Amino acid sequence: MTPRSADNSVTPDEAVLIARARTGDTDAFGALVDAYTPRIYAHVYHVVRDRQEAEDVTQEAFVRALRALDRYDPARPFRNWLCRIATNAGLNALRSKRRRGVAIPLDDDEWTARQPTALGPNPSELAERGELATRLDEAVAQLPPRVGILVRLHYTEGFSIREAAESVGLSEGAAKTALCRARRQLRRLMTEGNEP
Amino acid sequence: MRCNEIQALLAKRFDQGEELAAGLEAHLTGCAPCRRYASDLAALATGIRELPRPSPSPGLAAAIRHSTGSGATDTSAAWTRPGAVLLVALTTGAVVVVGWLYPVPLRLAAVWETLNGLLGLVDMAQARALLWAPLSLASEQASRLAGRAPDIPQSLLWTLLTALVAFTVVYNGISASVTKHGHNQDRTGEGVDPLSPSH
Repeated sequence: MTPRSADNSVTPDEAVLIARARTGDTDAFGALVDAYTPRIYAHVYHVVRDRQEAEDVTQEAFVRALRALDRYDPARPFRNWLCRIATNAGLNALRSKRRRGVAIPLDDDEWTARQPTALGPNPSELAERGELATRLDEAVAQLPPRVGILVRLHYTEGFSIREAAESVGLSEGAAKTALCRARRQLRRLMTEGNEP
Repeated sequence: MRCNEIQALLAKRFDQGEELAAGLEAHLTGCAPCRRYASDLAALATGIRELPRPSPSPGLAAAIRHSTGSGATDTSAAWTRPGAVLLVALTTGAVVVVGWLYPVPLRLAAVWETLNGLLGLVDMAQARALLWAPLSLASEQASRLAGRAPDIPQSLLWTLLTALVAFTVVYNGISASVTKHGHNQDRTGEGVDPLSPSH
């Protein structure tokens, strides 16, 4: 599957905004907030799966980004750097939930702890009914959070495997392995009960 | 190539976006299981590409701007800051005092006289009564107060106003500086590396 094309490079305008923001120009940072809030929110939502919490975590991610702006390497895509911060903020929120007793799998070794629901009778039939994306959304949500993020960043947002791995703090090799397992699991969910 | 090799190539293409190897299409044409495998992956690819993307509430970006002090778009919030309220109160007080002292009431009375004269020319007695009665009352009051104004040099009043404007400029500069750096005191704490996976 060819991932959705995405321009992860920093545009000249964006580079100017980032440079200005790094010197303390709050309006420039505000413009970056406006540009990236929808993407970062969507990204965080898929980590925490709760709208209100996603908004809180998105806000926290931008606060952290502002604080760490002097450590941002302008040679690398700003979006990836921001996603990394948002991912960590989201995973921290999940850890907090877990400490409060909510059962949330966080680690990749918990794949087998879940009993995902099969997607349905037939992928093409689901696609025709327009239900495939919804069912897949539920299935991806059942993957371990870090892997679910990887799947979305790579397949939906068009990040390269390396960029997606960097965004969730994994090595490229570990990300490839995780994506392979995710693909198998998703395919199995799609074809379950459909095998002859 | 065997079917398992073909399917591994298909999976690699799915995972890493690599092009189909030569000869693979020919195999798919003659192999139903591999064709079905490829079809499943294609459906999966379509489904994942079309995964729903939730949208934030409309005010989220503005809230983040506000919390990071980056070009606050919530002007009402900015004007309810204690410092801003104090500044507005001081400015209003200064204007009232200066107006009471010199020479605003006298000018107001002169303006009233002029307008009254103009209205008299076009014979709009009714309109005058309705529209200018409040101003007339204010003018009378102003004239009365002007008579009580102490004899204070105008230069002193201008000095006071200049000082107030200078204070406003300096205050806004300090506020901007505080806003720019104040975000360090947020709830996430100081000195934490946001790129580290856990803290």
